[in-house]
Amino acid sequence: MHDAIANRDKDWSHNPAVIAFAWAAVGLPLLWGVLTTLMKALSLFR
Amino acid sequence: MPGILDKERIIAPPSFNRWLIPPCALATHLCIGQAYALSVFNLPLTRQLGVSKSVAGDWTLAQLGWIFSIAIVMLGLSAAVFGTWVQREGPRKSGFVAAVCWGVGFLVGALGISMHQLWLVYLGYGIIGGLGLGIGYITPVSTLISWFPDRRGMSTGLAIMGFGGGALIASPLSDSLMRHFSSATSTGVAQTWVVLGIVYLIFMMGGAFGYRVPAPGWKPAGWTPPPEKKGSLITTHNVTPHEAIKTPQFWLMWWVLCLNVTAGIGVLGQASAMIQEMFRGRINASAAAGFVGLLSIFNMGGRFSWASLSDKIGRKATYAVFFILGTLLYFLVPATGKLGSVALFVAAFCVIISMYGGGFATVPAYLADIFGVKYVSAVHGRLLTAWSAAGIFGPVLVNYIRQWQIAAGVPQYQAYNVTMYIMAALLVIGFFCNLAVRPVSQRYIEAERAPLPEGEPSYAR
Repeated sequence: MHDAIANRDKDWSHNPAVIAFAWAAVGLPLLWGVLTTLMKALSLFR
Repeated sequence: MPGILDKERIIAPPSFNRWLIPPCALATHLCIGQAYALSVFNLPLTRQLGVSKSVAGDWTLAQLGWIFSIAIVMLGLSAAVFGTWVQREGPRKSGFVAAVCWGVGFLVGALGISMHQLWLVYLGYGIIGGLGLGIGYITPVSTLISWFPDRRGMSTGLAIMGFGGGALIASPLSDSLMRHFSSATSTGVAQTWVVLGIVYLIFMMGGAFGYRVPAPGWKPAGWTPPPEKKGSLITTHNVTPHEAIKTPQFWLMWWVLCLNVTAGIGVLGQASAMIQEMFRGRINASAAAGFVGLLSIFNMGGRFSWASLSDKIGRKATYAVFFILGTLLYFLVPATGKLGSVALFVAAFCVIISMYGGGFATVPAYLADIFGVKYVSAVHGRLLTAWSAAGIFGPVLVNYIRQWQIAAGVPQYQAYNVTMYIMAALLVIGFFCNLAVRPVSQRYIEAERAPLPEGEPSYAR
């Protein structure tokens, strides 16, 4: 049972689509937040 | 057969891609990092009854301030109390509990807002949500250090960077949601909290179910643990949380964290008012808001960059940089006001706040170096009480000294000077506390079993 789970993990953990999805799921909202904040911060230098 | 949330269920095969773990940790921390953006709801919550303006019976800012205070105190307490449980049960179960607490906290809080019952908001966001904050904060620490024994600072820095970054997402998102839900009869806060609660619950669950722990004895391919040198701060032994709190090292590090956070947290809370008062007529409210946003970005960026640097130069040296550079910059701040240099003022505080964030992000790796990997989440949980204490000291120091200065007739633009010098003095004390950190005495080291190999996680036992 454990081996089956282990093999399944091995397969998907190196799948580029899974890696891209995992990082995009956290990276894109963070990027949006940083850009939005930077746009507001520009008022400091006007 | 292990249950779906059990640690035994998530043991990864040796070839598992460890780079899938940091996004799970970020999913947790980006959600709970919302706590830093709670103030975005303050003004709308003061007009829940009047909607367009506050009326009799509406909540005051002082009453609302307790929501954040309760949540932060609960963060420290729950991290301290549940640290051992988090370590024992593993990241999936603790991540699941944190997600439920955080999501349900918002929903109970939303009910309190819609019924205009403040105690329900305290219970929901403050107590239930605060539990989620504490458990969620320490959930990924031990797992990340186990997966990245070669990059302890970078890995925990990545996760804790999420806590700083959470506010950058939550603040504009909350603003948009409130605008969407607001009407002639509602401020839209309760509906916004319902949406946030559901979104955070789903997002954090995704992170919780993505966690894997390395198999016993696993280490990164091609990496061999450096041999433990005599007198080195990096140990391959372990100290139990119960023993750790008896060591002088724990309390020295408690003060290191407390003083570093005190120096930053007071400034973070007063940044907008401070820049407007020090540069009266040149900085308006909008520019001050931009300054606060810039500080948030440096708070987040400092967590990753300083913690990553600590992998290269060592944890003790990194904190020495925080304290020396921080002291110099705090001394410089009054001069920037005198010179009228907004750019220098902003630059000084951006660096100071990056080191505030860096202090949070570097401390788990520092603890793992000194007390071992096995119980790091539990020891980290206990150390986070320093954060709760600093959450009280920092704002009190900044606010009360400013008031005392103004009462003494000091012009408003100079009212923060004494505070800056006191912060510098606190950092000098922190420098000496850090300097005094030495390897833990043999008598505190867990003796009943042989030391765990580097990178071996706690469930191996």
